[in-house]
Amino acid sequence: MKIQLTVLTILLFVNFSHAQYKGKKRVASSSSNSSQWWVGIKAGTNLSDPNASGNFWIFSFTDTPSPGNAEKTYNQLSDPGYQFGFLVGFEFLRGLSANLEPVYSTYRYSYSVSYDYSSEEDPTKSVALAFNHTNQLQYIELPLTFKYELMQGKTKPFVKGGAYITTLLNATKKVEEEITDNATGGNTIYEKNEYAGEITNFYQKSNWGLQLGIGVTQNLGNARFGLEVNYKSGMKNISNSNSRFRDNQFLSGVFDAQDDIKLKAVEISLSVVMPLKFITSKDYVPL
Amino acid sequence: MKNSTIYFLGLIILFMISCKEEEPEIQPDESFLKIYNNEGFETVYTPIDFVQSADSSYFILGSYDYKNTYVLKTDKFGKYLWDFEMDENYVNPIPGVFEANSNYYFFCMDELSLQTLLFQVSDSSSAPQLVQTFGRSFPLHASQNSQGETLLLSYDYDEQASRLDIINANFGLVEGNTYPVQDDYLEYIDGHINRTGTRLPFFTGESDGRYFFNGFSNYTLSVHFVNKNDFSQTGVISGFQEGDEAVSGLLNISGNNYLLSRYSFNENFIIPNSAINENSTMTSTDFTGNDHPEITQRAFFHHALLDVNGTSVIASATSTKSGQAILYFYNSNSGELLGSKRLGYNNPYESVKIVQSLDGGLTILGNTYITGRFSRIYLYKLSQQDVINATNN
Repeated sequence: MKIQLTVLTILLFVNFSHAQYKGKKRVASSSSNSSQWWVGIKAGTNLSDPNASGNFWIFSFTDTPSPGNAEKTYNQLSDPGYQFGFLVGFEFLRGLSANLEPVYSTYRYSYSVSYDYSSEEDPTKSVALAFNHTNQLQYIELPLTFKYELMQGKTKPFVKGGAYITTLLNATKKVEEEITDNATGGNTIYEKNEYAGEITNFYQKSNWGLQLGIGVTQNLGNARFGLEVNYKSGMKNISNSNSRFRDNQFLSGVFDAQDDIKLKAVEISLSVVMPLKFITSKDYVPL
Repeated sequence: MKNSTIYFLGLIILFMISCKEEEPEIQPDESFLKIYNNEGFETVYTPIDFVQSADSSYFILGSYDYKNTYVLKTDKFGKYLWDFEMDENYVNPIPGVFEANSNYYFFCMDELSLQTLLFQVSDSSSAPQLVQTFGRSFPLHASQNSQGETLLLSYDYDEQASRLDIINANFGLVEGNTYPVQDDYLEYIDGHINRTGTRLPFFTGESDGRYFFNGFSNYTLSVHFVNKNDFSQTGVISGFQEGDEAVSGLLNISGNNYLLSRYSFNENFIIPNSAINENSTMTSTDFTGNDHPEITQRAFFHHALLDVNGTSVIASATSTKSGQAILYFYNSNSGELLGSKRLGYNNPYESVKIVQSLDGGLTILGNTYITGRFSRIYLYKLSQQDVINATNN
């Protein structure tokens, strides 16, 4: 991970220096009249849409579970995460730009599952274990997107699309457990517990995905402010299926194993960018 | 192409190279934990013994509802394939499962006649078939010797004696010997079998020159060393009356070197390398070693000799007072403790048996109690690298 960040930093530095140098020389060739470099920052929030296929547990069932028992129910677009990072854009044709947006992102998704034990001799007797799992993933992401501005002027709506690669930094899980006992004289939740732990090894270290988005920018002074909404679709299973059943004191304590998941997300970001070339016209057309 | 464009593309390519996906570290059959669960509220499952087949799958012998016989088959990933709860007439499955010609064999007891029964399970069928009935009451433990025969320890109700016999490869009984008991221990045997009393550490085994077994004789639960030809007793490690002191596990390392575990009232001791004179009369308290206050009272042990990266290592599995299964690893030559590993969090875990897996890892059979209540069998597989790490090799 350190190597990756170092490579990225060096390359950004080289690129940035190069752009500044070109700017200072103020050599305006005919082909550069329509190009511009933009750099800036972006930040925002996201909602995860986990797409799970197959349920897995530490349990191996010796009978078929009753309907609803041991079924994981994923919550869609309910757990907010956030992202922040940099934006480097290269507008190679007027209104059309390629953008690199290295960001630090966290995604959160949650699901619930319960395991029931019922007496055959006395059906009123049962014990139910209900678990609510909330997983948080921290990634460094590098999206490469192409943005097309639909209108010119100070306010510019745009569409964008592209792909991104991710590197996992850390994964954690929080579990809330409720045990309901209908067999020892009551029918209420008699035990509530919370557990938390790290589960990084149960996820793939890298991933990639596609994204589509819309947004709008507004020029204010020398800066360009942006608001955009992206739908990101992870293309690979984020779980490490090889280590799914590997013992982890924490996961085995809550009987859970990672499902196969493709992580989708809706992301809303605000950005502010500055041009690197000199600007003379009202339309931000560089020299 | 403009320089700025080249830099931009270079940035992308280099970062993608640096984010290249790493190879998976482990395969799913190398390391796993599986708990064999169902919705049964009243059913209690207890593990007894298991074997790993040549195809790396697992056959598990256990009991349901404390004393009835239960078998379960898994694939090499520990995933459930089939199981079978045998008729309630067939009780007291004992440690000593073995595989031959793609069939699994195990012993249990007829509840009415008290006789020892040998059952066979085909790998493709879940219904165990009765192979042989032996006129031996109260079977307690079985193990295979170096000749591929089976040592069978039983308690002879009529003669009030422990018995050691051999079952040959054709499932015929080769008469062994009896070892008279001077006190009536039937209550203890009955409590052990029905799990209404203390489980007792009966075992059988073999060294270069002797068979040995842990069973009742005279007035105590004692380890007996017997001649391989006529089963005459050559030496003994006596326990204490009513089983308050006894050897809880014995592993022959080589020659007359053994790993011995024992309990003495509330204390447990492991003596990782001890020279035992198989022709002498000893008591279990003659063997001094480290006290392990973390281990459950009168703990059960299972010991196994492992080859870890070319080093001979002893693994000792037992259970702790804090509700965890624990493994101790010792250098088999020096007796030095190399490391330990615990299993269990949130729910209690106990260990019953360990076997070195075909891939050099270690598989542990035991039971856990879901919500501290529902007793279920688990299989826990450590990879070879896990074992190397645990033994600091």
